[in-house]
Amino acid sequence: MVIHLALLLLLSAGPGTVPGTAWDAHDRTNIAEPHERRIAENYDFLLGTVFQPFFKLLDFPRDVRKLLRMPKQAEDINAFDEVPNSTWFTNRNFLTPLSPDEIRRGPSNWNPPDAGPWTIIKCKTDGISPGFQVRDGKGDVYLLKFDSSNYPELTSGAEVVTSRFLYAAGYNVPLDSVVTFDRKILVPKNDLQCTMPNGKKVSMSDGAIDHLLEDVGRTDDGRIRAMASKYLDGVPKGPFSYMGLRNDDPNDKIAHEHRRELRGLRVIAAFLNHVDVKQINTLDMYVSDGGNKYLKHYLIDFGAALGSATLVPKEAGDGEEYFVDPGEMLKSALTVGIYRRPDEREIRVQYPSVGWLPSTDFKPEHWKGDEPIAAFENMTDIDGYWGAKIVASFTDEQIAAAVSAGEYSDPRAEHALIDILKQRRDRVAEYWFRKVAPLDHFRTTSEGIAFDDLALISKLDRPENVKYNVTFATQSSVAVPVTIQSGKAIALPAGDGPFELRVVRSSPGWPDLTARVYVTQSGGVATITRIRR
Amino acid sequence: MVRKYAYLCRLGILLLLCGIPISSFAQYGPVAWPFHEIGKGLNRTFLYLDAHQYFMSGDNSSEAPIGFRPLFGGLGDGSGLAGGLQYSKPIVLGIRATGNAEISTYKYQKYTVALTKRFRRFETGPDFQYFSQPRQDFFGIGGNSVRTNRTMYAVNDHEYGWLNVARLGKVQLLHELQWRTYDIGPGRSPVVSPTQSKFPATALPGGYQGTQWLTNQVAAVFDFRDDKIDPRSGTAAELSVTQWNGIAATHASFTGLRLVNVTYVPLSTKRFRVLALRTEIDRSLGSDPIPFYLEPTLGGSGTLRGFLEYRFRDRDALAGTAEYRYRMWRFVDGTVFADFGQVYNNILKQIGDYKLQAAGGVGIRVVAEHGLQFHLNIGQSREGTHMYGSLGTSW
Repeated sequence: MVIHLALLLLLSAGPGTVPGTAWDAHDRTNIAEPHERRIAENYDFLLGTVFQPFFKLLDFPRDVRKLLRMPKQAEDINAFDEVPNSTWFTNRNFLTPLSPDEIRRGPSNWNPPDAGPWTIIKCKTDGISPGFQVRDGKGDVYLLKFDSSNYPELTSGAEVVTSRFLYAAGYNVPLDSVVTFDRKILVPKNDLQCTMPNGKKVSMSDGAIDHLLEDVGRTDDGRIRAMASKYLDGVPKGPFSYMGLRNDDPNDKIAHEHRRELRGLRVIAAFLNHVDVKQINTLDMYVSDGGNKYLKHYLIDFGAALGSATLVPKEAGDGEEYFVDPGEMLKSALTVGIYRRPDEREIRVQYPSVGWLPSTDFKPEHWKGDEPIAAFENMTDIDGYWGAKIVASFTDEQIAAAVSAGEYSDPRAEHALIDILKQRRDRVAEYWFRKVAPLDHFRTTSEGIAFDDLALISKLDRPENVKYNVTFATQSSVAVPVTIQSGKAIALPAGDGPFELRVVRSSPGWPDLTARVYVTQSGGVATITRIRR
Repeated sequence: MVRKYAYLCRLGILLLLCGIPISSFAQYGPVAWPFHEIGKGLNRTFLYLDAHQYFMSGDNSSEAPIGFRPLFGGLGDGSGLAGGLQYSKPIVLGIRATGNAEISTYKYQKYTVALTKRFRRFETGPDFQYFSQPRQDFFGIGGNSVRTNRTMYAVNDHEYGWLNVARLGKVQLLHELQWRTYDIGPGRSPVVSPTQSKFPATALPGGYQGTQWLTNQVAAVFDFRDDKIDPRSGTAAELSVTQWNGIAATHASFTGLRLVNVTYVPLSTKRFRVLALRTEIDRSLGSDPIPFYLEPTLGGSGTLRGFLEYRFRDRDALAGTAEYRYRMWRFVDGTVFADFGQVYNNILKQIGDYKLQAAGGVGIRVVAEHGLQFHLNIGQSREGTHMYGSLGTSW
């Protein structure tokens, strides 16, 4: 009985399906229009903070797998240990680097609002930041969200810069951009009524608009600065969950907590200090493409990323503990306050437009969002590595390009943010490339199997220090390991047949890390069939 | 700040769902219920602060929000959880009318009506209060009272007065004239005997007949704390003098003096660790007997934590607390405390005659940014271990 149970547990630790070599998940088949999923913000908070952590504790198989260090791996990966393109994710910068200009522009169909006038068709007086829904002269609809007058540029900058990085990483994000405009181009539509923050409904006169815009951030010449987010194509169908499946979406076949792009998002969110990852900051859109109608999954609302806590700068402890963090509380309680808490650190906001974003103190392994996220909690080292290699793929020029989209008026602030993000990127890479063999981009060449050492590309290690011990194994034999130097391809043995290439990376001060490449060779033509780490 | 406020609202909902009725709109009256047994009455060592909490917390009738708002909190140590409604509205000539109605799980009831007119830093106006406390504990008078003599009485209190307050920055002054009546009856507890059955009227000062008083109270508060809601450094002192003149069939008169000091010593730069000290001295002048239900008490969730509520009472009282508070979470402090205190017939003559009662323990205090507080303390004394939960303002 016990053995039977153990076997079941071990079996359940592996991928649910044998991964194929496809680079597309084929999840765009036509589906009936789903219902709009509605999640109350408070329910979302309770779910993430209380219920899901509680049920996680009761997940006995998961506990055993954790004990045996055999966590359940992501289920949506292909044979190359990568995430195929899907309605969730599109491989971008890691596999096909974007130009700095592409990153600056964001989504390719970027279409900022015209010069105005803009008709206010709805007010957004709820939530943390005020906003308007406007229609420009082209007929496109945008959500305008404003900064606070105390911290102009903080929220809008964080929102736009973060959206650029997430887009470049491969996620679906709205078309966000910074806009500055004269107040006069805002014109309320006829008979527009808005619910003011005090709960009263008022007709949207010029005076009422001025009242709502009293405390928003402005440029030095008095123009209003805002973040314009173009309404997404399709019909909104509510947020997606970071756990489970969406029942009314037949294309949704892999539990979200086992999707690598959602697990690995933890590392990317850590890089961006995007603490507000939760399901209400996601959106499923029912879109039409090529005759098929299906759900496309978006990440939205990045106002609490980077140094921003939405309207105000982040505080010490943000990004280092959950809003409700029993572990941190217990440490403080058991040590009678001797334990130095994350939020005890003295911080200084140098640039109000950037807020507080730690660089040298940033520890990617300890990063936490505001709430536990089921997919994040399930992240394995390989998922983390996957996220880290995307983060590490952002070059200095690309980071500068993404930050330039934030249109910071103070060049010193912009440079400071660029420098911080570079350091955070390097820290992410430094941590994860020591956990999982940073050997990637395996490919066949005329000289054999070539690959990239991401630690070298990231300048975390020196080529002269690194050696690779390569072992060829077939079903019947294991060859004597050979050692190759950095930059050299692995020469393949003569003869046909499948074999396994075991590459052990060694370097002083680094742990020995292994990657396995499965190769089929026939008639002198080698084909990589699988990669495992 | 804004995000945290939003979170806080959510946390309130979370706690509500967990069965802890907390509202972000609550008025933070004191409430405490002991977990070891059914709770009882009003802790008079905190009477002054509780009754005039606006001095310390800035919450008063003239600052109440216009219209209706729910009230949560309590009606004194042991009253159980109270809920009710407040209605406030400017009526005429800038006069604000405010009415509160509250009832607790142990059927304590409190109704107040106040008219307040503000003149810049001054405010003045009449007020009325009816307060019914049906389950007040009594163990006998003096420091030698016996725990097994626990009994209960009920007291109903009507107060009609005129209150004047001057807010002069860090100094605040109060003057109030009141007509007060007290009616005493047997405690309404199914498990604890009425006081009347164990203590004959002749054995208790004031007996069980009702009393009527004209009181004249003046008080001053010197407040140099860094924050009224959750102080982390600084000090505050409160001195009050109340002259009680018996009227009608009440022939006693006396003068009550009360001095309370709270001091906060930050032990770390961000004030996550604080040593909080509180001292209170109650002194009654005059030779006339003071009704037992007007005497200061010690024990409960505020003083001598580790003893039952109102465990000790006499004409005079001395109480002190040293509490080390350390941050466990954004809104939660852990505490380690040591309490001491004693009651005396005459503190000046007897202070060396009685050993101080002592208690110690640990606890947590939840302090929301806008003042909502929840406390859970476990105290140990020679009379055992007691756990107290309380909701409301504290020092």
